[in-house]
Amino acid sequence: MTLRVYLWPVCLLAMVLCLCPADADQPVMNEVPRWNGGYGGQIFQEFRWSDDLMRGSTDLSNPDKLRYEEHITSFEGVYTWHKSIRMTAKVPYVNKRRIAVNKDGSSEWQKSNGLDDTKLAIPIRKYRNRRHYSGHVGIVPQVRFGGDSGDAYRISDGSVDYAMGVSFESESAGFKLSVGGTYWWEQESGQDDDWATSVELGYNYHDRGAAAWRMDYVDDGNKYAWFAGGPVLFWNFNDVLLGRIEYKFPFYENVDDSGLARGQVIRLGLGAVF
Amino acid sequence: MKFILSIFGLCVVVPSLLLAEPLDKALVKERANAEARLSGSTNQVVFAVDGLCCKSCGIGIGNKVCKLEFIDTSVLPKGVEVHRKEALLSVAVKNNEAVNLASLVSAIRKAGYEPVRLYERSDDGALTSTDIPKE
Repeated sequence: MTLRVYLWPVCLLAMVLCLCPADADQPVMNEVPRWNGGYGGQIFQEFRWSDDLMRGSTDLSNPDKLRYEEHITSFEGVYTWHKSIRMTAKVPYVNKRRIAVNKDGSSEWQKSNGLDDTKLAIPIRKYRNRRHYSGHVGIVPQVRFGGDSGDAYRISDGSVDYAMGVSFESESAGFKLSVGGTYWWEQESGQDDDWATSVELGYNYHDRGAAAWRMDYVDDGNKYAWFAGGPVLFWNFNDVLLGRIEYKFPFYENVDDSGLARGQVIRLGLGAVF
Repeated sequence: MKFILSIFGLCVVVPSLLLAEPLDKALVKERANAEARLSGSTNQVVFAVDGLCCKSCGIGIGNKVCKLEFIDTSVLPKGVEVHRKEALLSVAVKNNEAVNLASLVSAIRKAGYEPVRLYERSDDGALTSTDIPKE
């Protein structure tokens, strides 16, 4: 019996895991390096913006043309002791601004720059290798800490938070399915926990390239819920340099009280593995 | 509830049985693919490798295998070529060098994969296969 026998149970397991809070993003490029002693790093450039003013899930008119823009440069590294255990680190630098309305009715741009929380994670995976099929299930204990408070408005709350993630991946020569999630226990008093899930279905259209459709759901606990999806392109340049481009458009958003939605996201990533 | 579980089970089992390829047929196909990969290429061996379905994920195989003394990196980059659709791995070995199968298998395992069979040409040109015991 070949891998096809496994595909149905795998899909069902993926559907079950979709219900778990998750965030599959672990450097570098999620899957590599899976070899003993492998290491690598990547830089992500992420752009977020929105001018959709909302109360709950209802759009409001935006006569003051309120808007926010964020540019996040994320430095990420990974070291793999064994394919079943690796360590990852992410250090994001945030450059963001928004239009705020003053008491006199005038509006102005507020800016904040600084480091967001550093995230450390230890993905622990159980791989399954079969003919024409590879996959894993895993757990990802994580911690985030540090971060600057920001200038005009807040970047990080400065608390040390803990998280547990789950991950699942199934891949054949043609298709790939990744599901993941993370639940963060927010340690700052008065703040609710936040969690995220992601599902990515990809197609290996070339030895070096893959295209995928990715869906994300993020519940920030206190600010917003965001359900978005979009295309992902991956390219392996030369077995050392790897690139990834993502665009995500929100299909559903819910803002606590009223405010700007999270909006659209573009991510550009360039990584190297050794 | 039983009805739902039954439908659920049927949805899994029936398509799996219909889509499953018989093992002997799969082996015949694998052997034919290995033979095609070995034709016209001297001083190469081919491994059937479980889980090898992504070239990028298999980068580590080259990183590990190229460190072995008997590997010829002048023929193939890092001495290997991943054939992801066939789950096969071509390995180039130096002329007149003895192949240390144990170290090759160990290198592939350290890269995160499981080699299951080795295909090579004997001195008379015939294709031979050797099953590799699981770790």
